[in-house]
Amino acid sequence: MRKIIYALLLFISISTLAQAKEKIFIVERENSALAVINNNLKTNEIKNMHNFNHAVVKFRGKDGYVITRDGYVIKFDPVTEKKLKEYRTSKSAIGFIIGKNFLAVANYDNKTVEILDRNLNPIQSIKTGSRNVGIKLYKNYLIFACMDTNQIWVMKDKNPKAKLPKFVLYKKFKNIGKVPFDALIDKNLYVVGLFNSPDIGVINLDTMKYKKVPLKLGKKERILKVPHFGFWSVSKGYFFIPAVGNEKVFVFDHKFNYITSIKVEGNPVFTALSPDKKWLAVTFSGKKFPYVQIIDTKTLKIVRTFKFPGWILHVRWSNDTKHLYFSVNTANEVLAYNVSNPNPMKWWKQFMWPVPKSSGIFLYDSKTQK
Amino acid sequence: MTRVYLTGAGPGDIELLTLKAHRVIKQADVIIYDRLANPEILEMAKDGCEFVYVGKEDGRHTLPQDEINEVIYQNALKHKVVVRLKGGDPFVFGRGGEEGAYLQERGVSFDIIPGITSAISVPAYAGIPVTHRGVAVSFRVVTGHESPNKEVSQIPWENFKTDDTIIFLMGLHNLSKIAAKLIEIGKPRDYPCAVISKGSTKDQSVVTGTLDNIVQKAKGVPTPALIIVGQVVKLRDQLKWFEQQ
Repeated sequence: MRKIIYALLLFISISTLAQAKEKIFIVERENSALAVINNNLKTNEIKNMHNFNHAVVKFRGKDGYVITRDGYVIKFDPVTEKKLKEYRTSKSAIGFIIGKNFLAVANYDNKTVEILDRNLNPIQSIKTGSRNVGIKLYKNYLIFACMDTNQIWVMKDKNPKAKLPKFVLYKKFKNIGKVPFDALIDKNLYVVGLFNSPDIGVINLDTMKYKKVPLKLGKKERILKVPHFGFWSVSKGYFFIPAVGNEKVFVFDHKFNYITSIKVEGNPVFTALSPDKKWLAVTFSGKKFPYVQIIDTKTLKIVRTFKFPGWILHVRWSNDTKHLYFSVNTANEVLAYNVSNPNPMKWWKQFMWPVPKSSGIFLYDSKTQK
Repeated sequence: MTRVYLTGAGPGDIELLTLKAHRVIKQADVIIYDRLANPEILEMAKDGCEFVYVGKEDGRHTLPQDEINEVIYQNALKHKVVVRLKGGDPFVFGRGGEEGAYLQERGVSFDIIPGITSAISVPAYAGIPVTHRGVAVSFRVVTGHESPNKEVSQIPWENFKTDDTIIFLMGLHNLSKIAAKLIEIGKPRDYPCAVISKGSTKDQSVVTGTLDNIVQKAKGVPTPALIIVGQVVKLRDQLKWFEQQ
C-alpha cells in the first residue's frame, strides 16, 4: 500500500512544465557536423557534412536535406539521424527548395539551376548564365532570380502529374532592376530584393505581371543596403525588415506601405517571428552580437532585451511557441528559454546544451512535418 | 547557503528514483544532468528551474570531466540548490568522487544522494539475480570502458577466474574484447552471458548467449547496455518478468 502511495505521489508531483519536445538539429559550423538534441538530450552528431558555413537544413515528409557552402546537397534521415546520400551540384550554392518529387538548387558557381529527384539523382540542369538566387515554388512554377543578368525566370512543370518534373521556361522578366539579391513568397507575390536600391520587385504570380515598388521609408530613413529576405519576417499584417546599417527594424504592410521603424540595440541581422505571431526576435551584428531583442508585434515596442555570454548566430521559436532557442556560437552552447509566460520579463533560461561552434537551428517534428 | 546535491537518478525507470532525490529535484534552482538520467525526471522540477546538459558519449563533441566540474562549481556560485543528476549511482563509475572533491577544494558544501545502481537493478529487470543460493555467492562490477588515456589497463583480468558473476558497465563497444579476455583466463566458451540494453525502460531489450556467441548475437544492440556474465544468466528463463508486462 505504501509503495502505491509513493508511486502516486511521484506521479502527481510531475508538473505540467513545458519541455522542449521537437527534435532539434544544430549546425556545428567548424565540425562539419549536425548535432541532434532529442528529448532534452544531445543524442547524436551527424558527421562529414562538408563546408558547414551558412548551411541550411530543410525537411519535407520523412526526409531531411542540407545544402552546404561548397555546393553539396545532402539527404539524411531525421528519424534514424543517418546521412543517406550526397550530391555536389556545383562548387558554391546557397539556396534550394523541396518540391513533392524533386529538389531545385540555385547554384552560384556554375550558373545553373539544378533539378534533382528526392534521392538526389540529377534530372535536369537549367543553364541561366548567371549566379542564381531567391529560388521559390508557387503551384507548378519554379521561380528564381538571376543576379548577374538582372532577370527573373519563371519555369513551369509541364508534367505535374508525372513521376518526375520537367521544367520549361514559362516567362522571363528582363531588366527588373540591378542585382537581384534574394526573394520571398508572400501568398501569390514573388518579392525580390535589389542590392542597394530603394526599390523592390514584385511579381504577381497569378497574373504574371512585374512591377517595381519603392520602399518609402519615411523622410529621414536610409535605403536598405542588403535586402536579405531570409532574414525578414512576414506576419499577417506586416513585413518586418532588419535594416542593416540603420539600427532599426522597418515595418511595412503587405502593400509595402511604410508603417514605422523600431529603434533597436544595434545593427539588426535576422528577425524571427514566433509561430503564434505575437513576438519578433531580432539578432544583431558587430559589437551587439551577444544581444537579442523581443518586439511585441501588436504594440511594435521592444519588450525584452537579452544579453548572452557570446555571439548569437541564430534563433528559432519552437513550433508551439513555448521555447525560444538561441545559438550562442562563441560560448559553444545552445539555450532554450521557456517563453510560455505571456509576460516576456518572466521568460527564463530553461535548457543549456553544449554544442561546439553552434550555428543554425532547425526543428523536426515527425507529427507535424508535411 | 548553497548546497550541491550529487544525486543518483537510478537506472532509467522513473519510479526507481529515491524519495530524497525526488525532494531535492523539486527544490532545485538548476539541474545539471547527464545522458543516462531519465530526462522525464526534469518534469518534476519547479518552474524557473534551469537545466544544463553535460552528457558524455564516445566519439562526440561533449564536455570533458574537468569542464563539468567547473560547470557545477559556477552554478554553485549562482544558485542555492544545485542538483547534479546522474544516471545510476554517483559513486559507481559516476565520477561523483571527482566532482565532490572539486567542490570541497573550493569550499562548496555538498550531499551525496545515492541512486540505485544499474549494476544490480538492470539485471533484476532482466530477471537475472546477481547472486542466487547455490549458484553465485558473489558478484564483481567492472568498467567496460576504461579511459583511453590510461597507458596500462587497471582491470585485473586474472582475478576474475573464480568470480561467480561479473557485471561490465558501459562495455558494449568492447564486448568482443571482454569475451575474448574471459575465455583467455579460462572461462569456458559456453559460459552464460547476457547483454541488457536500455535496462528498466520501455525500450529494454535482452540478448542472452555464451562467451562464444554473444558478440554475434548482440550485433546492433543500442547503448547504453550492460553485460552480465555467469551461471545466474540461466535463471532468466524462469525469472524474466519485465518484458512480459
